[in-house]
Amino acid sequence: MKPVIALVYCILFASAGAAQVQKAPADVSGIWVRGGGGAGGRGSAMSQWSPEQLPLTPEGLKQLNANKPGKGPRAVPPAFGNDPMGGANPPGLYRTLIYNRPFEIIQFPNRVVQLFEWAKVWRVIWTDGRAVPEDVPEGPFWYGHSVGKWEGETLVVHTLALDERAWLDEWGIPFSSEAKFEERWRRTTPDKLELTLKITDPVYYTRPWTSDAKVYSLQPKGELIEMIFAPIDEKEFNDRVRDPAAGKN
Amino acid sequence: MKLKQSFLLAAMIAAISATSTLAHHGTATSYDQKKTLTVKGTISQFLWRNPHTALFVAIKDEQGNTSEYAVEMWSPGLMVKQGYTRTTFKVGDQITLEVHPSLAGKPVGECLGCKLLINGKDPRNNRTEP
Repeated sequence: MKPVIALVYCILFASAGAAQVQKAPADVSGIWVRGGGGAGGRGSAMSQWSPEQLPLTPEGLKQLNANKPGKGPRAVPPAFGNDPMGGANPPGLYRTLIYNRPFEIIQFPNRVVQLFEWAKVWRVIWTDGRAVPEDVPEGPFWYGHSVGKWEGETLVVHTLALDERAWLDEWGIPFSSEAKFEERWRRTTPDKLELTLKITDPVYYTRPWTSDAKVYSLQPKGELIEMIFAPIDEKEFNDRVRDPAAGKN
Repeated sequence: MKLKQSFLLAAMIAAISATSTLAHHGTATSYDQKKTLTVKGTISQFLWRNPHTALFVAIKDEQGNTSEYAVEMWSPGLMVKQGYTRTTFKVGDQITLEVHPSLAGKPVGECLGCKLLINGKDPRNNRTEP
């Protein structure tokens, strides 16, 4: 095989994967952010998936009460809370998607990749025609395992194997290890991208529930910067600022 | 205490204002968003780190005793958007800033976009008023 032909084969098989690869009917690529404010959001009232009363099971309510966030109606001083991010742990997938920091979407024939500024991590949504697995033996993961397919111009993503130690949002909304998620992404206008999230978690919720639509604005001139929470920095900040502010030490 | 005697000339004057600040990692539960405290002193350290920058100021009470006041500030990305840089806050410079003070009454405050003067000037434009 000539080198050029071999190279073409390599590119085709490396990028396109299986034969069932679906041609993307929509372009969702670009840098997006909730609120349209560019890099550096602060979260707060925006940081909840649903404003409605969630259908918690008794076990879900118990976990909700065990989560002590620094924001929202149940907020406590961070020094006395147990937000996993207070120790510079990863925010996890859905907390990242609802926080107003930008991310970039890059589309390949066999996958959609999201590059998150927050924690400087990425997430892969496989669109190569594979089935959604029942389980992911290597999981759970902070950013889960995601398989997507196009329904018209909507990218429907099924995610599972998420680490239940992460929170769904800034307010400490929980999910269990049994939770499965369906995301529906749609570019509603050239500069708006909409996401709704459906959560099916029979351990913590009596029925599946769906978020209201979250809208992301295109940032044509946006650039992602590094936003890493380093444990060594977080510890010093906690010791010298956050904990004393609350009278913890 | 590493603070040099020559740094000391601070006083703290409490004043009330109605300013408010959106929560930043739970700041609303740690700092009094309805109060503003004027902190004057000498910059002893500045940490330019994500997701928070932090400023430490050497202050002096009426008896001449010195102590450290810690200030929570924006992330570097937001600080740059506000016109500050990693070299804005130099050790030894005199600073006056209006913080939201700790709800627990500790020498810690929050300055998320608050008014501040370094050596009598707004470091972003050299004006004498922020």
